[in-house]
Amino acid sequence: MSNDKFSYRKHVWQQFKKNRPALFAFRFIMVMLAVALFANIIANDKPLYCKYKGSTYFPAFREYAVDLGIVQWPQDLLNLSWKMEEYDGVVWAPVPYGASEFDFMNDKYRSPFDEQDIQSTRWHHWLGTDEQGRDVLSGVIHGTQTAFMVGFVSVAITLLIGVFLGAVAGYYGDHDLKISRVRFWLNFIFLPIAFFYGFQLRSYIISDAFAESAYFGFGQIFFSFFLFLVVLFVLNVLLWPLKKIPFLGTKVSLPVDLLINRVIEVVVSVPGLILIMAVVAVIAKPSIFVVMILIGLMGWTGIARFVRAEMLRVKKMEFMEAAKAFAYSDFRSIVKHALPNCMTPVFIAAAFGIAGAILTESTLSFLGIGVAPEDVTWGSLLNAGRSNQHAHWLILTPGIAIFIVVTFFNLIGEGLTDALDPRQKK
Amino acid sequence: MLKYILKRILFFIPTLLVVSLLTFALGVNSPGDPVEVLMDNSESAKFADQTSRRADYMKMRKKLNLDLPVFYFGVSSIAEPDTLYKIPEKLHRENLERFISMYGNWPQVSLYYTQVKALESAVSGMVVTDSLKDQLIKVRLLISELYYKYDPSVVKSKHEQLSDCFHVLHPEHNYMKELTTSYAAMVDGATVWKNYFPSFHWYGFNNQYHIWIVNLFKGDFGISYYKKQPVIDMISGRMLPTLLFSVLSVLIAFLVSIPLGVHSAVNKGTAKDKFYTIALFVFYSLPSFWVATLLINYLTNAEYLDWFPVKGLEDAADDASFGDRMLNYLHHMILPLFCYTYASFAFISRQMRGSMLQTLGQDYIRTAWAKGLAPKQVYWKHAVRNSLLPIITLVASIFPSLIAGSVVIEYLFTLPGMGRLAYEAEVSKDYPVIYIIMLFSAVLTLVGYLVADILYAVVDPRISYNKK
Repeated sequence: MSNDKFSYRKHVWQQFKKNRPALFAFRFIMVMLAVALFANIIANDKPLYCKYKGSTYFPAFREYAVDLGIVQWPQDLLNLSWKMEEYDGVVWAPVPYGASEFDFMNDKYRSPFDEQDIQSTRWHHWLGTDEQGRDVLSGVIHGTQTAFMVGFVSVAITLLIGVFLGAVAGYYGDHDLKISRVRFWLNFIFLPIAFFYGFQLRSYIISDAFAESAYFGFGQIFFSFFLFLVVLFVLNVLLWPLKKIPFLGTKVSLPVDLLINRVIEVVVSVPGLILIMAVVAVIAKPSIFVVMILIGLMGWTGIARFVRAEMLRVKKMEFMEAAKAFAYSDFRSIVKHALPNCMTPVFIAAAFGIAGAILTESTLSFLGIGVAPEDVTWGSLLNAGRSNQHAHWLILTPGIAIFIVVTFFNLIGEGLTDALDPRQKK
Repeated sequence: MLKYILKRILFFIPTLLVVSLLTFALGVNSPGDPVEVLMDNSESAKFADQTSRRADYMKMRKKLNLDLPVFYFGVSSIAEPDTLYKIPEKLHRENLERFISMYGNWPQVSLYYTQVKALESAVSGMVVTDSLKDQLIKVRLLISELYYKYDPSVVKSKHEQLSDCFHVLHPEHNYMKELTTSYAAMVDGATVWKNYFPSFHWYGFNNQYHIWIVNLFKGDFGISYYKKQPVIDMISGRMLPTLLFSVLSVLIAFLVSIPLGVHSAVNKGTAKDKFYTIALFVFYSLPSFWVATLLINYLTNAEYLDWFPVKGLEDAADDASFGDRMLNYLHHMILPLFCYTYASFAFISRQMRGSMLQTLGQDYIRTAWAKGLAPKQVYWKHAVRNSLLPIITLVASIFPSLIAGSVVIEYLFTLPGMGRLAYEAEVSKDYPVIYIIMLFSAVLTLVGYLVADILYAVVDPRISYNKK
């Protein structure tokens, strides 16, 4: 193999493509991702385009911007019942129903095969309705959005924490992170002080933000964490004159590996579902957002362990010796040289992690824990089907959707495992 | 070896302590006032006179040890007095903390608080004519609202409403004067800067956490908010079904999946292996709550197939013979046990296959073949023993997922287990029960890991634990 032409990424993709089921799964997931992204356009009770009282609107598109908080609905559109209005021209979404829109003409579990009270086939409920007349197809499409968001957001959190802690534990071990004695002992005092300024001082800001929405709450917690780090950093900078004193300045090693392993043990010991149940019970306003973040906070241990193990292997390689010889900073050695070589198991774990996160979320919303009653997710659809044993369309479709997504992400994980296996390199 | 095991057990203790701290912290921060919840809330007790109600409150508070500081030490701002925990009512305490964080002057805050209380006691002894009764009730309501209002504009408007009411009740008497002056003193004399300086308090061993954890070891897990009975009584009955199902399902999973994994690995690449692999993969990805819903819907239903009972563990007649009773149990257990088992079974089989494939590539297996051993001996005597090693550790990792899975399965099949208790407690906001279940499952998991580690150390002669 000529070195300049060889691209690892290309090679992995070549290997991955050989695995037909995994490739199929990957393509299908891409399609579902598109469905998730364009859910508001595919299924919506608002028109895609309409000419209303002389002005032109694109309400389904506008909904994205409204959801993101960029714009508001104009006053005359705010409480409009879209289906009832007369338009000069109108284009409805392919599935002309919202996920939580009640079709009172077709409520009480209307089967897709039964006669429906509709104007034309255009308005047929292709997957039937639930008790309140909500369109199941629209629910499944919008559920895709929730599922993918849960999967990606929680795995992103998982990766952030897992890679960081795993890399630190693996790179430094128990003996290689040396700090001066004074720093070691004084930080026992600094930590509570930083906690005081970061969290305790802002406790009312945080709790008030949570009362408003989980979104703001976590934003405030994130800011508090940032403050915590800043205070810790400033205090540590201030103590540097003390390091000059011989006894206080003696280096002692910080057993980071041991500490991080203990943290992993604690997190692993509590079954994720039960911890999420316990935490959600305390939170006044449950939302999918809280569940997402909690799944992310619980799920990083596997990735941390993998990265740690890889780091132990990579640390001993020659190029790391070279980095040391060049006197590169630890940060540069880790981020630029060691980590890129540790990522193999991370990708695999991420694929499996998305499957697991979606499964956990759907379990919770199936039980009705942690989701607001108006949220439509695959789990809540399935739960709605439980109360009517004849509503097979409500029991089968969301279940199949969950099954497909979980299976396909697992298949991608399998495919990645094979493709990234160095023994397969030619 | 012994040293390794001892070390492992030593590490077990701090982990457990951290988990207990986590549980306790969640409990302390749960909404609502536990004293109010656990007090005698019958109609007669609720409308008894204020003094006896208050005495009841104090008694219950003492019983729950809530009159003690929360933890061994505390970090607060210098504005906050270290004896704030002595204020009995949780709502009042929270509101005072608000005031402190807003104004930072505890003496004035406490003065305002005593004024509110003085007003309350002045009003409680007040006797009025029937025509003014409504006014009096309104006054009492307004005063009780003052205990948990902190927003300046809201407090101001409450004060104004109060003084309007008093004007009707006792035009000549100025009840409100001291209250408003103390409030003005608090707002005007604010020393917010005090909030920015941390102070450290040591409270000693007589604190809530200490007593809580000591009681845990004594078997006292607190009192359920919902059933008003000791949590231990609720949990102890529920442990058995969950443990029974978990252990049975792990046993079945191992008994089936080890031969299956070996068989699949030995016949690698054949149609049989491919079929197994796909089937196991599908099983592994099937969400158990969906499978359980489908089974309940189509196999326990008179309209489709009525093969199994839907609910509970047994419904045998009282005079049924022992054999019949056992059969009845078994009949009830088949579906839930299947749901419990299939995922872990698929997981273990896949791991076993992988582990077996790895072992089969080893040199000593080639040697075994070269010696002319029969395939049976090579596979079952030489290969399986070594492939089993990584599987042992799986037992530990399966336990947490089994406990988590029990929530859904026991909920769907209405089995009287811990998982269903967790669900019921969640729905009824029965915090003590949720947190104890969380602690319990953590302890079970940790013990699982401990046993797996020790087993691993005992079984695998290649691993030396004395070296670093």
